[in-house]
Amino acid sequence: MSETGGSQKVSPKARRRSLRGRVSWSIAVPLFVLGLGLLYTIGAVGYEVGTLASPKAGLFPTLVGVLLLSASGFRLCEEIARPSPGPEPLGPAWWRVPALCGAIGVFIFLLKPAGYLIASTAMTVLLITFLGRRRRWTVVGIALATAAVSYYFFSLLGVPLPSGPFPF
Amino acid sequence: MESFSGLLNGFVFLVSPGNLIALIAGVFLGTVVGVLPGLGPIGAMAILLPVSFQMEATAALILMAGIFYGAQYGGSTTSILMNIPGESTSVVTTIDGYQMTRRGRAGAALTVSAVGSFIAGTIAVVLLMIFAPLLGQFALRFGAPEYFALTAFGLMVLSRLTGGELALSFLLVGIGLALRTVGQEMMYSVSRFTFGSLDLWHGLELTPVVVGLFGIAEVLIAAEEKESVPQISPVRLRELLPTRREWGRSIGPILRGTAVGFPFGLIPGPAAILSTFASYALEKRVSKHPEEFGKGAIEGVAGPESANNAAAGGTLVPLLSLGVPFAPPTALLLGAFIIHGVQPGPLLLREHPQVFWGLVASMYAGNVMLLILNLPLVGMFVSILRLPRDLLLAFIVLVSVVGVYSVNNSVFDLGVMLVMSVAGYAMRKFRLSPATLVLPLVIGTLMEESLIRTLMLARGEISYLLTRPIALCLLAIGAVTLIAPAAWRRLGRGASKKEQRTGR
Repeated sequence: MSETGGSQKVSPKARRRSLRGRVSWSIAVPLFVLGLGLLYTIGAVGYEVGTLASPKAGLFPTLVGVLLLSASGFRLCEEIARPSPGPEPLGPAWWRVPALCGAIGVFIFLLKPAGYLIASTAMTVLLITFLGRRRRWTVVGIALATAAVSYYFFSLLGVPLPSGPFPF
Repeated sequence: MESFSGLLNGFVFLVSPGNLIALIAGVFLGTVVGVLPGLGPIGAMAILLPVSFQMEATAALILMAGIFYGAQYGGSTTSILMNIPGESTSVVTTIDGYQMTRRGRAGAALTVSAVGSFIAGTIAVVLLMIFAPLLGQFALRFGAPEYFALTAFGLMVLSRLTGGELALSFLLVGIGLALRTVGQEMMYSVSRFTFGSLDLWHGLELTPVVVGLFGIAEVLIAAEEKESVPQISPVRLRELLPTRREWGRSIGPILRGTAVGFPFGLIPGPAAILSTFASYALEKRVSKHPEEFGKGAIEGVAGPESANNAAAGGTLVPLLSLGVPFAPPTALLLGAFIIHGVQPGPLLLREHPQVFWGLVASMYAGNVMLLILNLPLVGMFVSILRLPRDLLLAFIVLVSVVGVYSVNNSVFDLGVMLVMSVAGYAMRKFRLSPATLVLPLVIGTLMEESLIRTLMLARGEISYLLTRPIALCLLAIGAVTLIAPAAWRRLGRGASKKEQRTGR
């Protein structure tokens, strides 16, 4: 675009900051997996490993642990030597990602105690509210209709959904 | 002759109301999810897997397979008309397909794409019919060492083919295998990594993992982008017919695309995607007009679209004959087989001939249906994209959570799905392939069991594997796949240094 005009200069401070961000991301991920791999391997060795001639339940997880440790260790060395680009930037409506996860979390939390109709209505209200711009009562109407129709449809398919306080 | 009578029986079996409805529903849904960017066949199959519990085994498999190959057809529609690939296998089609639309040849591109997909899909079913029983017969010689070598080969090739750094691919394979070890171990009945939880005792179910990684994660990615109204080019029925010259230029690419695509389907990893790139490169190389590529060359549509359909047929060969899925969609098909008490593999044709031949017959009929559906109804499928996005995404999430819950009526599975959704989202942000994590999760149990059996058989001598020709071949091919690119690069670097020195 014209605003960059080919003459855009990145200050050394900004460049250092961006490099630091990339380095921290690229090292943090393999370091995290290395830690997990270490915990996993310790857990695996805790099961009886046996011998190669008489292998036991711990042998395969131990081998997987070794694979995890060596791959993450190798990756860590690669990243220290030559940091890879960081993650792709978040989208303009990035806040919807945690919001949608929260809506699904509400469904999970409500499903058993409140039943499918209430849980799915609550989740659908939240999802549509986060994803679009509709009137409040339209959203509630759509959510109620979706919950009722889907409950009936899945019941026809023989999927047992929790009814909650309702007698049907 | 035996194949012919088997196929006839398959058609007889197919002509039952339940199977026909499953076929129509499968190919229709497949086309719809192919058209919709974001929701792919894997997500749709994972969502419908629990629903298929209620169906008869063959009907359920016909439905799932229909979604899988139907999506290959639908994916090209948005690539050609809107420059948006509905499916990852249609990315290459956008290059020349959309340019054809801009030149007013959208109808011709859509027709060549559908006819190419039909020809490739049908040839792939014929090849599947020939090779699956042959490979199944061959696989009767497989023992534990061969199965261990096969799974190891699969993971080695997968690590190399999914792109990115090798260490990173191994890391994901390791995580997938580690997740598989959670739960009760089958040979010694030892509970591993369950932390006293009864839910973890059963191990991680495939459905919540796949729905999370492929279904909900795609919804999260779509949700963080601002909504935009797609610009859709209208296509009239009379514009659908390509000219004689366009037909002439398409026949060769369709046949070559089929020849390239089918063998790609036999390789572990994202076979269908890779086959489209290989086909495009081949067409550009053999074309008399390479300068037209990128500007609306019909060969650039015909070749890749045929290749991805042929590859989809090819991926069914290892599943049906060996019982080993080499791609995420076939992993879900394996799940559908197992749910209905049918074990795919060398004995499938002997123990469940009606399932095998019913599936093959449904693929012939499904390809014809897709050809009929895709051309006259192209406008209807494209109009799906005009549905309000908030309602569409909310609907996908709702069907996903119900689908996952209904597998075991388990809230824990929903929790696993949510965790995997976040993991899938993060993996996409870090440009990692979720398939690299799913396949080890699917074949991990077979790998462990065959390794333990091999070690017991060989009394701990690992070199025993090298005395088994099939196992040795598979391990050698896997090792070459891993080492060859690096060795090739090093050789190339050495040669260029030598040239520089002599030049000096």
